Amino acid sequence: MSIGNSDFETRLTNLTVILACGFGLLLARLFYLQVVRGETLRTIAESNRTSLISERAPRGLILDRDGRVLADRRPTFVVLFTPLDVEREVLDKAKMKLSSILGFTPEELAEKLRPALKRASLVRLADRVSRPVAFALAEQLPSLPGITVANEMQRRYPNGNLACHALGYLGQISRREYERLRAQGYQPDWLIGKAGLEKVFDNVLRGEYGGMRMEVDAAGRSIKIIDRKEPLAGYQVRTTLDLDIQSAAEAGLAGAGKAGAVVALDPRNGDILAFASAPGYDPNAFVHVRGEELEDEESVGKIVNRPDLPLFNRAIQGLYAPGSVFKIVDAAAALESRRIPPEESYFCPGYFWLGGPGGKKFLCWKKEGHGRMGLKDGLIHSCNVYFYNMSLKLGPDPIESLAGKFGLGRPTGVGIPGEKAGFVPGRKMFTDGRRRWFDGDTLNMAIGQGTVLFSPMQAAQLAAAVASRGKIYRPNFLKDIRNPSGELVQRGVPELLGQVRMSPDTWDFLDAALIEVVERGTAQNCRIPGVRVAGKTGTAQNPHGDDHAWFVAYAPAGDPVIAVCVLVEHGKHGSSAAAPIARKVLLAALGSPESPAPGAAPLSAGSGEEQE
Amino acid sequence: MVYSASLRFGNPEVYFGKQLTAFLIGMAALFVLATVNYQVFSQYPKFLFFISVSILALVLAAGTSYRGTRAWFTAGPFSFQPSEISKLLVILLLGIWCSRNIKEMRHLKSLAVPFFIVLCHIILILLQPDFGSILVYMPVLLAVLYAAGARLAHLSVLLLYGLVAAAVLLAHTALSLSARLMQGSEFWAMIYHGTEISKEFLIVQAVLGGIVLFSWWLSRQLRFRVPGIYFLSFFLIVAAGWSSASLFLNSLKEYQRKRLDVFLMPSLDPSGAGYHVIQSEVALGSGRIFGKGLFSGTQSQLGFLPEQHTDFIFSVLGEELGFVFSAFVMLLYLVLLLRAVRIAGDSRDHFGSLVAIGIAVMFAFYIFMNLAMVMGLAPITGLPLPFLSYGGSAMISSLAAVGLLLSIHVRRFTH
Repeated sequence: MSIGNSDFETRLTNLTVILACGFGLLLARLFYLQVVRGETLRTIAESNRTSLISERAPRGLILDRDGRVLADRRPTFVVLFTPLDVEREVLDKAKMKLSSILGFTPEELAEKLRPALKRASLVRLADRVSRPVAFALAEQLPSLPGITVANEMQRRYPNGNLACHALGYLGQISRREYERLRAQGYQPDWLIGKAGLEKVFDNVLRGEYGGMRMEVDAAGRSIKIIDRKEPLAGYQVRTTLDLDIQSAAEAGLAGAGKAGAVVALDPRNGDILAFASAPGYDPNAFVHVRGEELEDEESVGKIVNRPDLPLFNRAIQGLYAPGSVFKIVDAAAALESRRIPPEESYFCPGYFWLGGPGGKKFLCWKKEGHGRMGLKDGLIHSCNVYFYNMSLKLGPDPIESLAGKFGLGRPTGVGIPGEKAGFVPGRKMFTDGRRRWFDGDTLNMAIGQGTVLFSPMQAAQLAAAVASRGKIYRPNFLKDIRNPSGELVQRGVPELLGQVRMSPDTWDFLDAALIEVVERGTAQNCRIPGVRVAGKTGTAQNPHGDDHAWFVAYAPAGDPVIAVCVLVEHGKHGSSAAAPIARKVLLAALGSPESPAPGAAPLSAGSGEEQE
Repeated sequence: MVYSASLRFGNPEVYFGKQLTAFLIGMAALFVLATVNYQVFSQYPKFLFFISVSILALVLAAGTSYRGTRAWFTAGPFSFQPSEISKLLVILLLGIWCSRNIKEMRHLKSLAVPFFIVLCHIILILLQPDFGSILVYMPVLLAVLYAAGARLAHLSVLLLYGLVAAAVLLAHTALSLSARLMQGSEFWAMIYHGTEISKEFLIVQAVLGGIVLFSWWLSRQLRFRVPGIYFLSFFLIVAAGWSSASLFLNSLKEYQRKRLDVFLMPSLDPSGAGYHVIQSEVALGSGRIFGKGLFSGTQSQLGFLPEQHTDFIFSVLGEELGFVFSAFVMLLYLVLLLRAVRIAGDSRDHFGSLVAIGIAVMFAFYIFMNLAMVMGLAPITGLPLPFLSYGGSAMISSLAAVGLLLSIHVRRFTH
């Protein structure tokens, strides 16, 4: 303190105080940041350095009843983009490379990148990228800041079109669906089932989505994987479908070369054995892998815009007049009414005058006439004139009421969205007094024309109900659901919706008559030697073109294991167009060896010498 | 610390090696300066001034540019920033002059020469232009003058002058960025044009003068006995500050103006200064009490921190070593500063104590501004943290400054 003067000392002290205050402030701030807010800031630092990549779980398998694969998955790649501090030039160059490798137009790419750049969040740039494309990207990765290529399992339908309408297809979740499903943990960029079983069982098939935490640097490049929540594969759904029967049904429809539908049920429990609608589509198109050629060059756009509407599920959404198939209901109603003796017969000249000669003329399908017909023969030969006469005597009400008991005019409850109800007419239609029910309506109804409408599924259910003597089961797709380790999670249980109560005589009569339809009536094209097949053809008049062909059948009669319905649009005649397809389906189901042409081994009706 | 911070650049050895070399050179300078009697410097003020100004002039003529600033001499792999030396020379010069005129310091006119010395350097450095480096001169000047016994009123004149000049520069930059405000209002447009040498400049000055005159008249009417000289000097100071800022603005070239804009308004920087401050806070805070461990700071090693080996080195330290260690480092700095002030108090002559004060305030300013910046309390000025930040010239001059302090301390009893 050589130069100690008090003023200087004071000034030094003042400086010291200022210094100490400044440091006190800084120390307090340091304490606040590192100790008080340390936890929060650590979290931010974590999220800074990590970037979460959601991994889609492999979708569950869909199998047929014997465990054969209907839908599985295969590895593909996804391209993810994390936006970060990147210079504009670099980004622009990266964009050019991306659009050329991924095949986006610059506008598409900009559209995809926009949310990422706006919210600085990770986006899926491209799903389902093929291996060559992914490798091309991987090579360029150093010059593509923020791009990550990851592995992901993707849905595949190894059988292509097979059972496409049962399986349905996948699609990007829509905004509306997302709003509805977000509570269940769905994310806005997921693929979800849009139709068919993919939609019905989406919840179990999708599995639990996993994620990867990646360490990224400030430029958004992934440094390493920190940890990973393994996605849980979706549950495996075993359906009631039988690949053989399904294939036979689709092959039959394809052979006919026309639109149509085949539904095969197990009359004992309602299991759906085959569910086909033609034309079909390849559901793989909806999960098209970028950079791979589609086999038949069918894009989603083409499928949607095709004039023959392949996405239209004719088995449950197509409604057709059942034609003579409805005569099964007529006959049963007649017997149950006890007012129509089965042996009472009418003469068929090929036409019928309503209101006496000179009135309105109703035709039989056989112009030259069937001659004198009783109930059984009328059914076997599908004689319209018999049913005109009979139904006039019976009236429409018993028929309508019995049709209701068979569940006609209501959806079968198969569960696949979009099922149509069909329609059964009756006096109830005209309660407003503007028009009343005429006898002509009764006649049209009796032969299943006019306003009567069945879906193929309903017709199949009708056949199954007749086969099982009145048991109406809900058509069921589900055999069981197992988790990825194979444990049973849920079993499909038959659900008896109703029981049509009729006298055993009536059931016997229907059984016998429908067998004879195949043996010597209109459905001889469906004869299978050694198997008693019961069936009924139908032809739906179609003002827009050729008639639609129906055929419903079940076999073996007496102990039926399958009921089938075949509809061929514009097939003209049930006997020629639909019955042969049904025969193929029955053969596939019953496992009988392919026999020579039908008609080679005649069997008399009710001979009792069936050898099952 | 520099090693850890530069790990990310892939060649930490080079950074570390350079810094080590600078450290060794600095230590040599420290020993030389500590050994040599500091009083020799007081013999040659003109020579020192000449050296300081001429190296700054020389770097303008023959220096190397980096990021638009011509501030370095380069020789092979080494580069050197002369403004780091000038800083110390200016402190010495201020010490010499003030100690020789210690009795006169109460007079306003005694402040003219120190002011002139500093102004020369500021102008030369502005020409580089290196806006960050000039900041330190103002507090050093004020502190040395204050310690030398200048009157607070006189110092506040200087302070006011500096504040007005800075405020005008800031206003100019801010206004040039808010075109909407200027279109909507005559007033702001007038102010904006008034910040440059133009006819609006004169109008603004006239209006200012009018306002001052009016307040003088008002205070007389209210019977406050305030001498008119205060109002006059207030006006003159403001006008002087304003004009020097305007002159300065007018002499700027376009690229220099851009650099000034970015310096004053860091948010202009495309990478975003707000982003940098936040990342720095996150880095510090995420270190919590004990840190993440040396070399394992995620913020630094993954490149989220800007300028992590220079300006934001303290964030790296805080992240990797935690509160315990970073607070310890801060305390070390505080000890250094308090020692420097103590040395100033113990010095045997005014020259020594004023130089020690100058050095203490220089360190304090750098440390305070840098720490406040990384903690998000001060704007991003790009001032390095003494002894820790990467940068050879700064390291050497810091150690040299410590050498001077030691020299002053060692000779405190020698008469």
